This record gives sequence, C-alpha cells and structure tokens, in this order.
Amino acid sequence: MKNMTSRERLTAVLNGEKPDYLPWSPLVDYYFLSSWDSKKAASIIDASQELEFDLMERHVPTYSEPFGASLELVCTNDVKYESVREEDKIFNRYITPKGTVEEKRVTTEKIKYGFIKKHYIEDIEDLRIYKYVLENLEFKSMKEEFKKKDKEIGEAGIAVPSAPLTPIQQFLQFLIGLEKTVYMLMDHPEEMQEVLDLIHEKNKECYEIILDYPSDVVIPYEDTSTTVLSPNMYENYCMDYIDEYAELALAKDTKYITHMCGKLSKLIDQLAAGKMDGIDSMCPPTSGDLWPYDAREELGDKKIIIGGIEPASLQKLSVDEVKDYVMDLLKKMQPGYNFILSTGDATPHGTPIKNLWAVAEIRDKYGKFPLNI
Amino acid sequence: MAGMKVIGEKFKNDKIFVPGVLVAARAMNTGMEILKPKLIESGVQSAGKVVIGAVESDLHDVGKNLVAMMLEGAGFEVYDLGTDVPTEEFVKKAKEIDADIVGLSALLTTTMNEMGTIIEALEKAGIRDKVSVMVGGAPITEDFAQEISADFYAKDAAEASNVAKDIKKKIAS
Repeated sequence: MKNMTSRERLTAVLNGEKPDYLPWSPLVDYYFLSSWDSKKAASIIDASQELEFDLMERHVPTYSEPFGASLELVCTNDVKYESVREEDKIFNRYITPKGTVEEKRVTTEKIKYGFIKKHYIEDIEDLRIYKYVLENLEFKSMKEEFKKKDKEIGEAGIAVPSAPLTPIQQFLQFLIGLEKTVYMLMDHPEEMQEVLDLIHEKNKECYEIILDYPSDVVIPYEDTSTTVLSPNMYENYCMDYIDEYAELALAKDTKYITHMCGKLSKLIDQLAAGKMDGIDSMCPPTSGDLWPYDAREELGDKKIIIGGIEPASLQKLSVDEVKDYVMDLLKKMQPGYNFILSTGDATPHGTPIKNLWAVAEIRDKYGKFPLNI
Repeated sequence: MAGMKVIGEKFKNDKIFVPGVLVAARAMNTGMEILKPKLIESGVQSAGKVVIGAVESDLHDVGKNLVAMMLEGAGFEVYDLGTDVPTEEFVKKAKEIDADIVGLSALLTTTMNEMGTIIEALEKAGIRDKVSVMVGGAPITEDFAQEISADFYAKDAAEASNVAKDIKKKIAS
C-alpha cells in the first residue's frame, strides 16, 4: 500500500531519504504525447495520472537555448534577436552592429521545434559576433512561472528547472556543432577559450537566478556521451565547470543532477570523481552503454541514478518482455537506494501505452522500498 | 588511407574517440585533395562506390558522417546525400553512380522504419541485387537489420571500418 504521494516519493529520494516505493518517473514530453492518438491535447500532468507514473516535469518553465536554462534571455543595447518562420523552416538571428549570426532549423510533423540545419557559428568571424552578443545578453528570472507550474503539478510530482549547459556543450549542441567545434578548438584555441570563459561567467549569472527557484533539484541537459566527447575533452572542458556549478547548487541546498543520456562507460572514473549529486537518463545499450547496476558499483551508493530503461526497447518490446526487462533491472538494483526508475532519455513517439502500464504494474507489484525481490 | 585504418582500429578499441577521428579525417582529406589528381592519373581504382545518408525526417548526422569518413579512409568513393534524404533520392543516386553500397542512418525510432521502405524501393527499381545495403544508428539492432533484409549492420561508427572490409570482400567475390 502506497503511503506517499508522487511528490513526497520523489522528494524523499532527492533528499537521501527512504521512499515508500521506488519512484517510476519516465522522461515524458510532447514528443511522446503527440503520438498518443486519443490524448493529443493531454498535458504531461494528465499523462502521469493516466499512465500511473511519478511526474518529474522537465524544463519548467521553459528551455531557453543556447543556454538551455529555465529563464528568459534578454538582448540589451544594440543587439536584437528575431525568430522568423518560413513554412517548415525557422530562422533565429542575433543582429548586432558587428554582423548577424543566424541559426536555421527544419521542423517535421513530429518535431515542432525543429532540428538545427545550420548553426549560429560557422567560422571565426561568427564566433566574434557571438562574443559581442554574449557581452550584451542578460537574464530574467521566471521564478513566478516556475512556482505556478509546480503548484499546478501538486502532489502528482515535481517541477524541475533546467540549468545552463557547460560552455562546451552549448558549442556542441546549439552554437557550432560537433565537427566545427573540434576544428575551431584546434585552429583558434585562444579565441574559443575566451568565449568559453565568457559563457561560463554568464552561466554563473543563470545559476544565481535558477537556484532561487523553490526546487530541490536542477538539471543541466548535458547529453554527455563518448559518441561526441572524448574522455580528455570531458576532463578538459566539462569536469571543472560541472564541479563548480555543483558547488553553487550545494550552497543553496539544491541537488545538482546532470542529464547524461549517451554512452558513459568510458567516462565512469571522471563521473565517480565528479561533484554532481546524480546522473539523469542513464541509458543502457544500445542507445547508451551503461546499466545502472554496473554504474552503481563504480559511482558508489551516494550518487542518485535516474534511468535504466532504454527508450528504443520500451517502444519495441512486447508487454511481457517489458515486464521481464524491468523485473531484471529491479532485481539487480536491490535494495534500490538513490535510484529513480526512468527512461534513458525521452520516451519515444509511438511508445505503446500498454508498455508504460507494464512498467507501472511491475513497480507497483515489486517496487516496495527497500526492494526485496 | 593506411593511417585511417590505424585510426579505425584505435577507434574500435576505444583508444581514440570521435574528436580524434574528425581531426584525422580532416588531415586525410587535406592530403587527398593533393593526391587525388595523381591517383586518377595513375589509374588507381576505388574500393567501391557508396551512397550514404540519414533517412527521411532524420536530421542527425554525426554517426553518418563518421561512417562516411571511415569508408573514405578504407578507399571507397563516398557520395554523401546529407540528412533527411527522401527514399527516391537514395534510389536515384544509387542508379546514377552505379553504387556498390547504400548506407542508411537513423537515430530516431520514428524514422528507422524508413530503412525498410528504401530497401523495398531499391527492389522495385530493379537494383537491389547490385547494391549492398548497410544500416546503422542508435536504435538499430542486428535483428532489425535482418528483419528489413539489410546486408550489413554496424553497431556504431567504430564498427564501420570492419564492415567496410566485409563489403570489400563481398564486392571482390
């Protein structure tokens, strides 16, 4: 018999306390909801009730790229921002007296916000323009919007604000892209470092704002993976920044959990040494390469692990296979301290509803804490 | 190209990672710009012709680009169609260049089924027996590759150099 609400259950794990049951909190967003034919207009809160999961609603109240943080970006002085939609394309531009940098996105029926087709920065001249943009960028708190959403969620779960990405991840994910980031780091190391340092300073301003939101946890969507970064790059461009941000969060009594949905096995030593409180969206093979129980051995008992179910498997397996998959996972994660059962990134478009119910059923049947299967 | 074989092996064994492969590939491409006219002049043949791309509605290109680099490093002539490539583009290009291999990439569970559609289209166009189809991407598995009748599956870009060797053998036989 459950004696905690979803909010209490999730909060207990985040604060190192014992939950009544293991939380089941898949990463559900509109990518999945748009494929749920009978519930296309459903909110994520409604989905959590119907699919019986403990809601961690992400990116509350928003996800402002390229910082990836839950606050508003404000251009000041002579820098202007515009976003123009032309059929299935979106053009986002920063216009400055030094020139314009432009990002082009292509939308699809399933991905409304679009994929980046052209990044803001393509060469060193663009980098210099973007540096000017950064020098004239400020941030506005959205604390009231966060509080409103968190209240709306109520006992169904918790709202989680997004924290800004490390500077290198802003380059990789939004500003420059993988290939050109690697080449520009080689060709223009000093100017690239100057901009990385400037983004870091801006990030600290973001943290000051976001850590003032009434939340037990913040998550930066680092998407860390050795399919993009080498362990050396992680050590040189991520570790120290992540540790510094984790310390800022600690000072405000807030948990700092990094979203790392890729292949992590070759980074395990650095992650074990890192100051983050936990890792979100830990993904097993084939999309990822780390099972939570293997990670637990390396990371120790203290770090919170969120994840364990590969999204592609959740979509493709039969109901019985999903049940076996989750049972096996729970057995190996016993007794289940500091663990939130989740998907190893967004629940895919088209995931069968019965598969999500199957996970909830196994959690309800065998998930009483501490796990003893 | 011999250097890229070493890179491919190190990549497969996690001795170097994607950024290292990118740097090596750029060095190779810079060298190839100089060498290409001389290779053509001396009649050196490529290992085969490859059409590669990310399937329709999929705009992810990192894995596909790495596979293209590995194949170029193995001596293949690579025609990269980019991302979000419609089925008919794969068929058209494969016909046009008389391709030996069609390489299909997908990162999304929503787009991976396009791979089966492309294989059917190659069949309909009457060229399926002339091309080997190689598939890969995060949600793709060996079982899925078999299910859609693909000829080769690469678990990740690190396996691409080995796959390329298998394809070379198949082309030679």
